[in-house]
Amino acid sequence: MKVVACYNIKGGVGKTATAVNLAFVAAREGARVLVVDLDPQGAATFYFRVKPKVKGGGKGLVSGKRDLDDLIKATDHDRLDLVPADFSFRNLDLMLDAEKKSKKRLAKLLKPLAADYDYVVLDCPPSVSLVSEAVFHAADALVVPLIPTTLSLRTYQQLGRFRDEEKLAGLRLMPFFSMVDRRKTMHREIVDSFPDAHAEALPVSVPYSSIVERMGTERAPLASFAPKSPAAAAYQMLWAEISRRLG
Amino acid sequence: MPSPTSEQRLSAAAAEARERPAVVTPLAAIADSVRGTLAADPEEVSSRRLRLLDTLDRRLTLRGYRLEVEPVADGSHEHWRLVSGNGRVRATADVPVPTPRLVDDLPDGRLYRALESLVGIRGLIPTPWITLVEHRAALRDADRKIRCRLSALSASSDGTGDRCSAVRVDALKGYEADGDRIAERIFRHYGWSPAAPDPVAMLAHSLRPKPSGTAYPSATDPQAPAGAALRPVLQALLDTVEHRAAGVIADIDCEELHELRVAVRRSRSILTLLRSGSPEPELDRTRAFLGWLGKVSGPTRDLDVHILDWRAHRRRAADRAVDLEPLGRYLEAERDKAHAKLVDAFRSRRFQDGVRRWRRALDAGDQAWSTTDRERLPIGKLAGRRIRKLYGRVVEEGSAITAASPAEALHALRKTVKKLRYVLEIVRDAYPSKPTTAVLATLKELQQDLGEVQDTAVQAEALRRFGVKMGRTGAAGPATLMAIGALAEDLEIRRAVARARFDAVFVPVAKRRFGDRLRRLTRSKAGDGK
Repeated sequence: MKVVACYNIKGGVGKTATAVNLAFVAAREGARVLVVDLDPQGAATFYFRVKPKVKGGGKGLVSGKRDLDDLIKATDHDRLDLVPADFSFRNLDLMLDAEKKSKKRLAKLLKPLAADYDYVVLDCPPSVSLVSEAVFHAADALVVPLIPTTLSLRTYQQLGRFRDEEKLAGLRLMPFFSMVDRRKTMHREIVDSFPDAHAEALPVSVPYSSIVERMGTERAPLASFAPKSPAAAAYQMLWAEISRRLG
Repeated sequence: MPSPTSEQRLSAAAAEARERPAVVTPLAAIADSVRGTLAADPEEVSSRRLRLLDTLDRRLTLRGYRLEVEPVADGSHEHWRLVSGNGRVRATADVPVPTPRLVDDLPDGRLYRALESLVGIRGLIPTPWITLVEHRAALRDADRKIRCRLSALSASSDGTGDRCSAVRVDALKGYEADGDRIAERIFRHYGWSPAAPDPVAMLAHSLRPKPSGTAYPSATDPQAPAGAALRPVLQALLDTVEHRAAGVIADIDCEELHELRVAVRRSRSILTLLRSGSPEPELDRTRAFLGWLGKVSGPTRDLDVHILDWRAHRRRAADRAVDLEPLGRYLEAERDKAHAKLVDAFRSRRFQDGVRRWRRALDAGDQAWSTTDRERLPIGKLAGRRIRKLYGRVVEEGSAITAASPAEALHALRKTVKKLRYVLEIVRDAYPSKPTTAVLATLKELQQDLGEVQDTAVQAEALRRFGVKMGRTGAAGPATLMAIGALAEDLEIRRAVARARFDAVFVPVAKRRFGDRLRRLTRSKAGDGK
C-alpha cells in the first residue's frame, strides 16, 4: 500500500481536485483506493456525495478508539472508498497533541488497511501543523500542486526546507503546476523554467479550466462527467507518472 | 453439523436455479417495490459472451478462481481474465487465436505466472460459450448518493440451453444497513436469496460436473473384513481407469494417463495384499490384465514426461529454445505414435473384456470377496502386517546404500517405498488422520528423491538415444545436438543433487521414532493390526 498526500502550505491551489481526480483515475485503472479527507472543510467528501460526519469525531479516530476501517464509506465509483471529513477535524492538531507519538499516529492508523488498498490518497488541509507532520510521516510521496506564481514557489521552498529539518529524506516531493493559464507570460515562464532547478517536478501541468469548477455542481470526479476534457487528460497523465515513480 | 462446502453450496444452488423460472421479474419492478425512501435509477442492461477455462479436475474452481475468456472483435485474439473469489481481477492477457491448451504455451507475463502455480501442467478445457445478461439499478438517497446496487443476472449456455439466474444486492461499505434491508425485502417478496452464488459459477458447475472416479480411494473401517473393505476401493479405482481411458483417447490432458496408471498400480498393490497361496484364476487374470495396462501405457507416459521436461527446460534456457525446437518436434511425433498405439489398446477387445470381467468380479458382492483367509481378516490387521513388513525392508535396503552403491540399489528401494506408500494410502482413512498424514509426507519426500535419481538418469539416457537417432536421420543439426547434450547434462546435475540429498531424506524414515510411530499407528485400536 502506497500513501500519497496531496499537500501544499497554501490554500486554493487545487489539492482537493487533485486528490479526488487522481484517486478516481487510479481506481478506474483497477487499483483499490482510499481517499482520506483530512480537511475539515470536507470538499472531497462533498465531491463524493458523502455526509461529512465521522462516528466519534476526530477524537475517536485519533485516540484509536475507532478503527479507521469502521469509518470508511464506499463512493459511487468502483474500488474507490472514502474516510469522510468531520467538522471536528478543525481541532485535529490539538487532538494529536494530546496523544503519544503524535507524528506517527496517522501512519499507525493506516497500517491495518495495507491488505485492503493499493493506494491511500490523503487530502490535506493547508498550513504547516502537527497534522501536516503526521501526514509527512505517513506518506510515501507528497504531491504538491503549485500555481505558477512567485508566492507559490516560495511556499514550495519552505516545504522542502521543512522536510529536510524533519529529516524525512525518504519522503518524495512531487510538485506539479495546476491552474495553468498559458496565455499569461508569467505562468509560461515559471512552468518552463521550474524543472531546471527541480528535477523532481512532475512533467505534467493541469490547465486552468472552468470544467474543474464544475466538479462542485456535478459532485463527481472530472473523468466521470468530462472524460475528454484537457484537465481530465492531464490528471490521467499525472497519475501515470506518479504511479510509475511509486513503483 | 458441518457447514456445507462451496461445492455443495453450488450444487444446491444449481438445483434450486433449475426450479426457478428462466425469466425473472423486471429489475425496475423489483427496485420499485423494495426501495422504500430511496430513489431508483433507470435500469441499465448489458450483455457479454464468455466461456470459462478450467482443468478437468477443476483446479481453478476448487481454489476459488475463475478464468474467463471473451472474444475480441476482430477474432484474432481472446481476452483472458483470471478472477479471484472476491471478484478481483488477478491478471489479464490478450491471447492469440488459436489459444493454447497448456499454460506453458502462454506468453510470459502476470497471467502466465499466476496460472502456472495454480494449474501446473494440466490442460485447460473450455466450457461452451455463455451469454451473461445483466440488468443493473442503483438506489440513491436524497443527495443522489448510491446506497446500494441491485442486479439481475442471467447466464445461459449456447450449446446446452442451460440457464442460471440470480438477483443480487451489492451492499456498499459503510451503508450495509441499507443493503441488508433491501436484501431482506427482496427475499421476502421474491424469494431470491442474497447468498445465492454467482450464476456463471452455477452454470459452470452444471456444465462441468465433477470428474468421476478417484485415484486415491481408501478403506475407512479398520475392523471390516479385508475383501469387503477393499472391494469398493477397487471399484473406485476401476471407475478411474475407465474414465481416464476415455480422457486419454480424447487426449486432452496428459495427467489423465498419469492418474490411470496410478489407479492401475494401486489396484495391483491391493491384489498383492489379498494374494493367497491357493490358485485364484479370476484374480490372476486381473493381475495379468493390470500388468498389461501398465506395460502398454508406459511408452506414452515416458514421452509425456520427456515433453514436460523439454517444455520446462525450453522456458528455463530461453537462449537455447530455438535449438531445442527440433527435439520438441521429434518428441511430439514419437509421442503421437505411442499415443495412437495406446488408443488402439484402449479400444481393443482385450481392454473392453478385461474391464468387463474385472467389473463383474467386483460387482459379485461381499460374499464372493470373503473366500480366503486374507479376505476375511480385518483390513486394519492385514494392511498393518504388510506395512510393518515393507517398512522393515525399506530400512534394510536403505541402510545398505552407500556412496558406492549402484543405481539399481536405489531403484529397488524406490519400488519398496512406493509399495509401502500405496498400502498405507489404501487404508489411510482407516487410521488416525494426523499421524498418517505425517508418515505419508515423510515417505513421499524419500520417494520423490529416489524418483528424481532414477527418472533423471533414465531421461538423460533416452535423450542421448534420441540425439543419436535424430542425428542419423538428419532431424537434428549440430546446434540441436549440442542443446540436447546440454539438456542431458542438466538432468545429470539434477540426478547428482538428488543423489547427494538421499541421506537427508532417508534418515528421518530410518529413525527409531519413525518406526515406532508406524508400528503404533498400525497396531492402534483403529489399525487393530496385532
